[in-house]
Amino acid sequence: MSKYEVLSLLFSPSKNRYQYPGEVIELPNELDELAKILLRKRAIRPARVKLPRRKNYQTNQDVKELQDDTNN
Amino acid sequence: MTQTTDSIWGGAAKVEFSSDGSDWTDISGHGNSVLPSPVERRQGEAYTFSGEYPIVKVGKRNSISIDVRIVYTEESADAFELARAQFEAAGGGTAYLRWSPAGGSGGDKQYTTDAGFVRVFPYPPVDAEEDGPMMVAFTIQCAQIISSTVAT
Repeated sequence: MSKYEVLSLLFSPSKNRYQYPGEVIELPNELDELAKILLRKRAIRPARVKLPRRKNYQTNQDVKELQDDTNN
Repeated sequence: MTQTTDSIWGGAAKVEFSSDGSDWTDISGHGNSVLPSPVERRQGEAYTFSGEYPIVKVGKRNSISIDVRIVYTEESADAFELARAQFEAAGGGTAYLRWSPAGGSGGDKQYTTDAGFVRVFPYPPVDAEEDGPMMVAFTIQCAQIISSTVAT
């Protein structure tokens, strides 16, 4: 199952409804060929997955909190 | 620009009719042609004493008429009967039409009218010199046509 973002108005015969731009849809792997066609026609694009942000730097506030913890 | 290899043959189009926009009947087996009239925008213009050319302004869009030509049959719920029922319904009935030039498979374009009505309906004409099959054409009038892509 892959997630895609709708770019232009789609019609889903199985659900009998429109899927609007911005909506995220899931296409099962057995519909890869359909996904390829829709991608080629720029009707969908792979949905962006938001990864958790990883803090790999220290802010002044972090340093201050660390110092406070150490002092306490 | 190189010549396209994506041209479409319209002889295997899919045409569907609905009276509520939800339950659709495939009338491809009766449909012979779908001819939407070109859609126009309203426009206005005025001349002044000074200029040589008019001041032209663009307006809203006109409604659309779509001629649907079908093979006339006498089946219980064929395309002719579906259109007739909506034409004869008190108050004018409701008619939706949608068609997919390439056949309605996944990835094909599909054009769907909003809630329209059967504006022109022909009762079957007969002609002793006609060799058949008998054809009739009705006209659906609607406000807009929505373009979408068939997905899953």
